[in-house]
Amino acid sequence: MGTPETSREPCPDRILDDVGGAFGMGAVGGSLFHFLKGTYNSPNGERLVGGAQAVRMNAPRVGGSFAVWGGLFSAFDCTMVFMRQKEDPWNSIIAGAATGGFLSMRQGPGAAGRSALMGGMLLALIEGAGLMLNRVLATPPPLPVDDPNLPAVMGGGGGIPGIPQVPVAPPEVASSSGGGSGWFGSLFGKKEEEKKASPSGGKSEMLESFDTPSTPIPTFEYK
Amino acid sequence: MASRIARLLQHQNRRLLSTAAEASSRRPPRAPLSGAIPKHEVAKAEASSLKKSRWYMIKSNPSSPLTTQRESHKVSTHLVRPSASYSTQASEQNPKEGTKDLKTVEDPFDSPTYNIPEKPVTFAEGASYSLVIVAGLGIAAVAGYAVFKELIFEPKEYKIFGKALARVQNDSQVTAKIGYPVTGYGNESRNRAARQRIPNKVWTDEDGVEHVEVNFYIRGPHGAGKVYSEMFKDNNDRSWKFTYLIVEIVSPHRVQLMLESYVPA
Repeated sequence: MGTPETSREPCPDRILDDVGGAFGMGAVGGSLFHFLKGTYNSPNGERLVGGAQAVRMNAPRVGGSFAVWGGLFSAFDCTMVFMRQKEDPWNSIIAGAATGGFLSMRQGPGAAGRSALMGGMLLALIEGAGLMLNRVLATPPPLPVDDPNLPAVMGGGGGIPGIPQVPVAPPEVASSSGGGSGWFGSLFGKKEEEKKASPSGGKSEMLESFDTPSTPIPTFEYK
Repeated sequence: MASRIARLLQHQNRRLLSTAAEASSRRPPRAPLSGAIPKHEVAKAEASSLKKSRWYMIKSNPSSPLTTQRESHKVSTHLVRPSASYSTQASEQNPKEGTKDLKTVEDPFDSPTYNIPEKPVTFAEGASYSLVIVAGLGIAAVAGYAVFKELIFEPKEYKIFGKALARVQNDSQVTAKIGYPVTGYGNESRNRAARQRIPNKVWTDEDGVEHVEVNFYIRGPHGAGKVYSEMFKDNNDRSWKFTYLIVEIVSPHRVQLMLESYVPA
């Protein structure tokens, strides 16, 4: 019983996952960047050799920098989750600012403050862009949602069971998208979670349908 | 010129006086008084030393060849000094010529600077620059607005999520079942962005009242559950109120709690 519960709590283990993921991104991105740079700066006839040499010299360094940044960011993010006991975009923004400030601390408080501000602004832009993308992508789903809403409001009791069914779908899509980037073992675990979640969702739907008759009665009285 | 010549003459007089003093100190004072005695001493002086012969030759006649050679030497020294003074005058005149050269050199630098024409920027070019600047400012404004709208002015779903989570965390029934520090998140996933995304639905009913429905997960030390909540914005006092707040605890035991249910006054 404790094992699946702890497996769902990502925070302590996520730090190691993020270090590996950040190193991977830095190493691959750095390899591409420095290969092109080395190729451009090499004379004709030695471009491939120059590109390969530049990659061998610089890719590990870039990967290491990304790993340090990713690890610190994840550690601060988990700290914020523990302190606030809630997960929302503010955690990422504060973690980004803390990471920037921490990495520049030995250059003095002024430089650390400026780096923290830059980190916070960067994460704010990233979170803002993510929220806007989510909103834009979520625009089509409300169209079918509005249709059952209108008859629900108009019809009354008949359409009420349709309302709770709609929010169940988004978490499944989100969980499936999240599962795509998981580990092999975690993928297996997530599949089990999805299987468990779906029957609980069905049960919750039944329970909601059982309890929702009490909700419209007060609204009816209000009208 | 005159002053310099006078100075040179003074120098020569001083030298003569010094040589005369030396001669008088060596010789007895009686010799210069008589005229015949110096002639006799002249021969002796020539035999004794050059200095004495120099002294007597100055006063004696220039008929002897030795005296003529020395006089020519003296004349050469005289000639050298005036030439030095002439060279000095020439050196004095040279800087004046140098200043004239500098003046003439400076002029060519000034004239081209004065003659460089300034072409006015065409209206089209200026307008295009203004458009580029306005476009840049517009892009910056759009980015700033997006950031502020999405973050500083908190979205509705996160506002409702915060209120509902605070209500659940402070409820003794929930803490008694799943433990005290209750964490809320949007999805069961290891992805940070997915966990931070709260499933929500926003709509406006026929009376013009805005409704926001959110579903999220809660977790505590001893169990976990799911929360279904809906809030509406009361138009009378412009505040958010709960329509319902249902907590379904799935572990350790399956229990369903209704913490909030709206009843009109």
